[in-house]
Amino acid sequence: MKKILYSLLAISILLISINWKKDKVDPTVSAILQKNGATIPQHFKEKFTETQIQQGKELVIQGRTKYQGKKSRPISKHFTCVTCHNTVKETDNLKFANSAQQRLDYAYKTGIPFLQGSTFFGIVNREKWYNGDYQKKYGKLVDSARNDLGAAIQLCAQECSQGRVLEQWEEDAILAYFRSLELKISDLTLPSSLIDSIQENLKITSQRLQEFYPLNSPATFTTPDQEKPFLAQLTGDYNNGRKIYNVSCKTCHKPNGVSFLILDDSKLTKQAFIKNLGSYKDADLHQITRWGTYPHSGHKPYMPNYTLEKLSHQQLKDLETYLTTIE
Amino acid sequence: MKGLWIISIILLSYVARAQDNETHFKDTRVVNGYSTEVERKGYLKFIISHRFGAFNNDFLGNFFGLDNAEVRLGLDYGLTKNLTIGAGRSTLNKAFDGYLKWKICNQKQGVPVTITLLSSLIYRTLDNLSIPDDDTPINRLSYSYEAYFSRLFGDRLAVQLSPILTYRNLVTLSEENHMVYTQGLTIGYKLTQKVAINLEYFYTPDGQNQDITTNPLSLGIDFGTSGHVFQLFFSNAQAVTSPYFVNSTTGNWLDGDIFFGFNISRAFRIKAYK
Repeated sequence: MKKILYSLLAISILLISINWKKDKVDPTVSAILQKNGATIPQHFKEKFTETQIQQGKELVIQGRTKYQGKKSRPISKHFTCVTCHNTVKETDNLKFANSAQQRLDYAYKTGIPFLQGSTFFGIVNREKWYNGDYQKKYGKLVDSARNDLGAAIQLCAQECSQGRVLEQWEEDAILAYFRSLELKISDLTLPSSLIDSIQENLKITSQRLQEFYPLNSPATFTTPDQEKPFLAQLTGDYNNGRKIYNVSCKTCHKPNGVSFLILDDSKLTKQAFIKNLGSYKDADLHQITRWGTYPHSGHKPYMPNYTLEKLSHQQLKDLETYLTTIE
Repeated sequence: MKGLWIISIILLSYVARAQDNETHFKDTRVVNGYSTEVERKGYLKFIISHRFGAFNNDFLGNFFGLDNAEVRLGLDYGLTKNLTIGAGRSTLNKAFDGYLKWKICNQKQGVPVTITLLSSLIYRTLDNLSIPDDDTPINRLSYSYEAYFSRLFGDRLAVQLSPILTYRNLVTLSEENHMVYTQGLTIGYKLTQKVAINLEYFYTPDGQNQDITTNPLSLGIDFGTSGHVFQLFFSNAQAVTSPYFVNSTTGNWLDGDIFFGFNISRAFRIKAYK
């Protein structure tokens, strides 16, 4: 009996020390910030359950979940959240999370899609959403969404996904899931001096830590005419263009994908792009990437546009080079 | 024989594009026959198949064939990405039809052809007044078992072979077989990303049907848009469903028995995207 008790005690001490060690080595970014006096955002104040996190995950990935024993209504018939957003990190170093080329290289390396939307990974650690030129697209609808993650989720469900108003439990569940994707210290690429400060529980300023991950996702729209002078000065990289085509365009434009238009590497497809370049129609590469399409009565699915932060001038030039070169 | 060799060499001169999942035809139907394509999962497709009256059958008097046209309205639904269920109703013989279509595999590396199977049931509701005693419900049924093998050569040329077995519960003439074997050949050529031309021919070896029956030959053009496919064609067959068009066609191109027709389809997403 004594042996059993001593064994149990030893195991307990071991488990506690492992957990304590884990917490000590890998705290969340928000915990460090709060410890150093930062204001707690609203979406960090509530406690969520594992059930909510799982429900939120299913809502984000599949568009529906089980609630009170019944399947919920799909949020949207046409899209799920992950149609346009990843749920994992998109760059090796989060300091460059808004770099289009670093996102592309990481996507190609890891097999994740290169998408128009920002990742949900660390979304709760940002301070603003629907930034920059999204005001042009959604007008006053972004006023509340820009400063409130819950409102941003609702706007996305209703407009971006062409879905419906989320019920409160759905919004809470998605927030819970996003909280489970919050940044930890180990996700950041920090200088050793800063890691030491954190481990020694020394005071660090929020600004210092926030240099190493994005506080928002800037969004700059452009038009084919505005972009022409920039493209004229660039030389396209065929291989980089092929990467973009494979991990971005074909993510949606594939058999049984979200679009009726299936893109492939055939001459026919490339000839269609060549023929329509500069036509300002939907089949014009510059027009479709920078404007996208818009939902309309009788046909709600649409293509979101690429901001400059998600597809740079150089990358568009690369894509153009790939699609207009027939081997 | 020489012609067959020439055709084979021309076809073989195209390097097969072994791309996964490349579509061979614009739609699930070509003219009267089916293609290897199946409906997308969760999509419901509404199809109108219209065949105007023949050019040589008082064409103007029948208002360009409108008065003696045949129509089929149909719905197809993609149960899974490889399995489609469909049903329709034709004016010809006032027939209802239903079918299951299953795509077994796609042409890709190591798989030389796309293969799709189809099984359909057709029920004639039009009374056959010449044989009232034999015109029982069971005798109004016909069946069709079809296999499609299609291959894409290069980017543009698709060739499909489709052996078809049709079975008619009731045949009224001694020279008609209940079970009829027909060999279909369909060739599709993509002119652009959205436009393709098609040729469709069904050959029924002699001795299975009446001598007056002819083999359906159709030439058409497809226009694909987002969600719609428009198919326009000329054919010597006015029936839309097999076994009617493979067993009951009597038209001859050279005699002007030509029917102008169209298929229009529109797909709607029914099941939420996942």
